[in-house]
Amino acid sequence: MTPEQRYFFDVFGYLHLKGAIEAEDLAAAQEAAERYVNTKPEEVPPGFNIHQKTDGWYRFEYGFAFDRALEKLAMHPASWPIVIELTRERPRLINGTLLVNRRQEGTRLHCAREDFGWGSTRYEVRNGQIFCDNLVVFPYLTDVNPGDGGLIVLPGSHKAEFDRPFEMFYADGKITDEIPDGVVSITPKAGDIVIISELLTHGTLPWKPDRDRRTLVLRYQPQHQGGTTSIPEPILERLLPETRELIERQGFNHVKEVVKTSLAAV
Amino acid sequence: MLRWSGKIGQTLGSLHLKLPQTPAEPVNGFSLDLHRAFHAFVYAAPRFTIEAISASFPVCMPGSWTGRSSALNSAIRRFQGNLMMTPEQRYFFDVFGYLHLKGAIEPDDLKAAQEAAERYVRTPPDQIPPGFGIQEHSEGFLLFQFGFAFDRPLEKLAMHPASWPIVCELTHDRPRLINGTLLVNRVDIGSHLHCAREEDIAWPRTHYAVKNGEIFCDNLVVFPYLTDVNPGDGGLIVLPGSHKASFQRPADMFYMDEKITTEIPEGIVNITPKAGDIVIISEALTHGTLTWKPERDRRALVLRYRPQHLGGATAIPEMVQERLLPETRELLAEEGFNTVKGIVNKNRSAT
Repeated sequence: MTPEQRYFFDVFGYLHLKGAIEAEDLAAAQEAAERYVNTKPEEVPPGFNIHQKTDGWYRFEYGFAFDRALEKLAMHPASWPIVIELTRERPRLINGTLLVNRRQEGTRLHCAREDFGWGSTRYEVRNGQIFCDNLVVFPYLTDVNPGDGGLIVLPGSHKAEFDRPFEMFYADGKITDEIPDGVVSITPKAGDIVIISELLTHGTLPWKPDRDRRTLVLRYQPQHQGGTTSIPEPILERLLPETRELIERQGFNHVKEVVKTSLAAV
Repeated sequence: MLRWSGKIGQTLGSLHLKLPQTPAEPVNGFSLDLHRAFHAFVYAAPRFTIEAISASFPVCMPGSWTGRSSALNSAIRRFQGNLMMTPEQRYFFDVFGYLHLKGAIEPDDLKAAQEAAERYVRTPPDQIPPGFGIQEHSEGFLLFQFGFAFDRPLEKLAMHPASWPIVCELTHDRPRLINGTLLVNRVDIGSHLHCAREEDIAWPRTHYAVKNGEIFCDNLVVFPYLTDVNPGDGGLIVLPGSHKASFQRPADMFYMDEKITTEIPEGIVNITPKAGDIVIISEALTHGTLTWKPERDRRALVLRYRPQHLGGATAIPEMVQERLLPETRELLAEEGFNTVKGIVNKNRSAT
């Protein structure tokens, strides 16, 4: 990470990498996403499926594996060094969904500690290094303009020492169009990458435009944490060897070849 | 789980608390779970008597009052006079490092304070009372020194009901007013991003810590605003959360060559208070000011607080102190850590 990225992520709990994806790569990824979105449910390849969340989003499961153009984004040169540093060179890709946001309702504010308990997720700094054990990387495939809606965050909340009063910011926890003091709306353009700690309290404003908001949701944890991956074998079989290695669980002392190769290149 | 219920003090209310039979590892003599339960209790029951709280927490309060932890005692003392931050204020200040209290000053008090400030600003330099003075800041602000002491309506703002409980809680009931300047922002130069930790000997100078559910902040600034700031005007900018930064801010980050413009880069928040609002920041929060655009002034008091046992003698000259009310002089006084000032106790009993 650059010193600026390190300071920004430490203070705010997220990063917004503007113009991170090259135009050609972006076009290929957008085209691949479009193909997945337009595939009839009965024709999706084995292992894939389309899931509509209760709050209305469409989740195109394992979207990162649908096409090489999307798979490449899991180790994109802009986000990959950050994933490596934040996981102390022990990265593991847990999942990668293609998220399509078409409807009007927002998603309540939440974070890993609020959803799964205080002990579920860590953020620490020691000896000048950040350690973050639950990361989400969002490569954006479509534009979000101010006023459209989409991702909101509470900068700095990844270090909150207190439970958030439930009705704070939004009465009854229900998200409106308002952006109260303290809440920040992140408006990435297609080709930007947003990275957040799952400790960061976040949600989404109601989505207003007719066009979709499309982004991959790539989840990373340290390789020695958690159970086996939930990515089914038919999906794994489609992937490049290096992506399969990235998905593997490994012991703490093991350094993956994908990491070694990247470090050697530096 | 222990289930408690019953009458509380003089009220007919009851409260059911689910507490672990075997408390978690004790912190300062009582369990963290119990501590949290206590806080939940006092928030839920703001009018309950202190005796009721004592009776309701036999597990964590065996024996005499002096047997309790200092953290609990502190919480109880503040509870006695409702001198507590709300849970929302506590969460907001902890996460972002500042608070924006909207419409905090009553219209009559605001008008009186505005008029007093206007009198100070319009006083010819040769007619300014002894001890006062006008200083031009290197970044172009006009600092009307000891402005809080110029007139009673300004002096009252040092212990304003909206900010005073917050000052008391953040200083662990050991507040001391260090200075209070009337800031007048007229020129079109911004003030560079900075914080107490970034300057001079820097990092160790200012602390922000949370322990046992309480915030401790040893360098606070309270800004009662006397004029409006509208979006686009300029004025105060902050980096929310930077009071907990673990890294030194790269010098050219956000603004090239540290030169503030009218731009607001991602991560920076421009706070735009109206006259009568109060903004409170930790001096550990990185902040600055955007170029001020309007013809009209930006006017605010800059009230600086630290714990009473830190730092040296006040810089406020005796001839200025002589103008002040006894309680304000007490607020200025340096004291040992174990002293609770009369103004802290008095305000508790008054509420």
